[in-house]
Amino acid sequence: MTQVKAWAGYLLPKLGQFLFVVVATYTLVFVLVHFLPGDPLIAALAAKGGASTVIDPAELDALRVQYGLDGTLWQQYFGHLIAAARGDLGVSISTGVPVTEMIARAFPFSVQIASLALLFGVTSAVLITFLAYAAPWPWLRQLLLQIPPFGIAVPAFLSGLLLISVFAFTLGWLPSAGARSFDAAILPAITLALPVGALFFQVFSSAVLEAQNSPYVFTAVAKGVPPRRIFTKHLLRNALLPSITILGLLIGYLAGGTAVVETVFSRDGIGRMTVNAVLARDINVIQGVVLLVGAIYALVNLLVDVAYGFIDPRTRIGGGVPSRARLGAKK
Amino acid sequence: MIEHGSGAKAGSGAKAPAATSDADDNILVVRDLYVSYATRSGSVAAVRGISFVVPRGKIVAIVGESGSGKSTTSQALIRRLASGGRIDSGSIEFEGRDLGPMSERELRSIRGGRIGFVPQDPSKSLNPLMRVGDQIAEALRLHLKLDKAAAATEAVRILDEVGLPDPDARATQFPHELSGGMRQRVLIGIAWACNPQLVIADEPTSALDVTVQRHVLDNIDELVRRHNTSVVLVTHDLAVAADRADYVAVMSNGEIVEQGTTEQVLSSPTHEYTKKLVESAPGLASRRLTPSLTALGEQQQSSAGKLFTHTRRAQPAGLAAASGVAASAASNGADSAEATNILEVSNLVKTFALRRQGGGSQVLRAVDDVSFVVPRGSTFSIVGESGSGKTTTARIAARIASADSGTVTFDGTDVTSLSGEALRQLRRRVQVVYQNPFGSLDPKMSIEKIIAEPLRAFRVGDRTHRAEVARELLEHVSLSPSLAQRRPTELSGGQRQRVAIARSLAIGPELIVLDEPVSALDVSVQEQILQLLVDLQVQFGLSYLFISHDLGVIRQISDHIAVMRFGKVLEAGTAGDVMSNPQHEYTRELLAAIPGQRAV
Repeated sequence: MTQVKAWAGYLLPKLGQFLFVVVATYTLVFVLVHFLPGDPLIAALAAKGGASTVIDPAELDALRVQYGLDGTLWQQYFGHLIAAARGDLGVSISTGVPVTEMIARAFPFSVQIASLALLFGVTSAVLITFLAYAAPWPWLRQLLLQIPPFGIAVPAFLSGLLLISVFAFTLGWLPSAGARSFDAAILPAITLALPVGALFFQVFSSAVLEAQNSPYVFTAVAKGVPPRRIFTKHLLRNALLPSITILGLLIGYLAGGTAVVETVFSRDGIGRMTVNAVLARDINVIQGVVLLVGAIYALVNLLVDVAYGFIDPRTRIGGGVPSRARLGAKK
Repeated sequence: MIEHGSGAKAGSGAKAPAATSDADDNILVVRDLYVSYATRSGSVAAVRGISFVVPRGKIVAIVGESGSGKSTTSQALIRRLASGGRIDSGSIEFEGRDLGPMSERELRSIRGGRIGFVPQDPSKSLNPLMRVGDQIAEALRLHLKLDKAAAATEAVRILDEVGLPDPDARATQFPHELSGGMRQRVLIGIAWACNPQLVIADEPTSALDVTVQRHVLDNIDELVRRHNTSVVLVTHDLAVAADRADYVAVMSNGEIVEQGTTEQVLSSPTHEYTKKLVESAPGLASRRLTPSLTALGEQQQSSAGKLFTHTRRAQPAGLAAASGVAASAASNGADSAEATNILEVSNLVKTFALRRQGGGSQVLRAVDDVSFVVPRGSTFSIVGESGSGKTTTARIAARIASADSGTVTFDGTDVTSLSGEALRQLRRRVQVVYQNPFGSLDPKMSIEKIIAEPLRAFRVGDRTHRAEVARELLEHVSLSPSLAQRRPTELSGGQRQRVAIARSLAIGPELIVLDEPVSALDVSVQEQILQLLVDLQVQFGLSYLFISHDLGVIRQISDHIAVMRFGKVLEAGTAGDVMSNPQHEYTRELLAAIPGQRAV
């Protein structure tokens, strides 16, 4: 019972923060969209039909109602907020399809490459870090530590095109575009994994190399623990603590950062949908996507906070200690 | 032991009886060991040709101050040096085999299995994310090839053996749930887990309270007896070595300058450095320090014309009515116009709310109804172990922290609720010197700026005047004025603490609160700083509120002593009474725990 209370006391403020971030994101986008010069609906219709489009005022009013852009700003603000809470993000101006439906269609494709990218990126970062840690010669270690920054330095449209020309056109191993089959996701995921893995590597490897000189690692060495076991049992979890924060940021980045990769590989996905929506001045879609990304971001940070408790017993809430031990501590 | 360094041939040392006996009796033989570290400016020799032996079942202490190479030696013995370190030459023979040419794989079977290691800092030497039982079991599984369940059971038995209460519950706890002493016991348990022939203990108790230190060392003694283990005990504390070791090797500058049986080395030290070390060890032979002759001489001439008197006169009339005459009054030994007690605190209470596991909070009474008076011109000391509330009390007395209730009276004026500018003005008369001279000085400021900063804060004098004062103060704390433009990073710990003292003197205070001012320093430096404090006290008519955990140090400087534990003053009185006729059980325990009693 006390444990439930402790968890509630820990989680409720975090949930409050989560809601605050989502509402704040919504508000910010709403303000930006509505206080930009020009009428958003007219801008969108102009983008759709060309600059010389002529619209009958009565028809315009009807369209306003259809896209939920009628009424005062306050009515719109709260109306959209309440609708969003019910899962209704309005209708796309350029396609006429409900935004929720568009997101539901594109989202799985993005999740697919984003999670693959995360998997590739983190795995290779941990692997390279281990090799650098176990490297018998200092020059090899230095060399290994210098490789990952390339992942940040090379832009995605370049690395993507390089991967396509080698693996799709020259070797013919993987498809160059589309999203129909699973292997079509591999090249875009690798492209995306390069910067993600490199950023993760920067934090993770320095945490490992710093922990390597820590007294508890000395204790482990003095115990006779072999290097690989020191890495997996002692260094890995300790180095994960600072890395988890950056992992949360990276997931947030992936939620909205797939645009270039999806364009290069002409895949469906949230990123490409956003690009199209911006070009079409489709404010309902833009609002929906930003709200989605903001929610994912806040949710991931919430999970990161909870994950800390699982990894680090020092920040664990209640029940981390068996009850017997707690009785012992009181004695 | 092999005598080395004074020209004697290795193995023929007449002093150490063990050296003449058969080599088989020695578990460890170190010959002519050289260790160096590669730095940017080339290679630096840390250990320069040391030789010693460890007889089976005996404790050999390696004593030295920071930078003497003793820790490097201990790490070299298991061939695990900090990065950049390498063994240049010499041999380390463990049970007749040289560790030098061994492969890492062979070394791993020796480390933890046949040579245990007790590291220095219990707060950082355990993996924070691993249950302590698992950390012991890890060694058991590696070397004794026990299965998981057997290792867990054995780990609990070991925890019991090293004296942890409720060992099977403790085994499932994480390091942060254990006290420092308990963590060190866990580390001792790891070292002894696989019943090694040799254990290297690198400052095993220097981070612990004195009563805990005693129990932990007793525990090591018992393990040594029971398992017939040999121990290399690395320590900065000669008194600990005197109590516990059969043989002592004294290191200085990477060389062993003297070695022999403990009795020989301590009763008739031959090397100059050892003599100095024996003299200055507070645990071994401490007495109240008296002002040196030069200090008494300067006291006479400091009555007029000095820069400090300017400083004092420059104080605003309001608060400093009494302090304007402080310098002259104190130096004349007269206390006419002033309160006889510079500081009186009564019924201080300070509580902290602790957040407990599983929600809810608990109130900790850090300071619980504490009262004492500090007579003018004397040293009042508070002694206690960590968590006793001594530092909180001192901070309240200096008005850095505020109490929940109780009063602080400074020089007859109630200063309990001073705030704003009035509180700032109080800082002219009450200054603080902190424990850590590495953290308390801004690394980016020059020494001159650091010392003159209080003057600048109170707008005393112009820039050249302040520079002069700073230089004069440097002389007073026995530092060369040529250091004025240096940065703190270029100074040693002792020098830094002198700078911190000079800074506290700059504004001409009457009371200085010294919070563990020598705890971070080497013993020989400790003595110098304490002597300096005693000299300055006479020169400037200062009163001290001195905080320490070390009764040896307290004995050297105090006129009055209060013993604190769990926020309460258990016993207070003159230094002589408390030290020679302790009334409270805990005071007796503290006194008994001072190391160095076996030797003298």
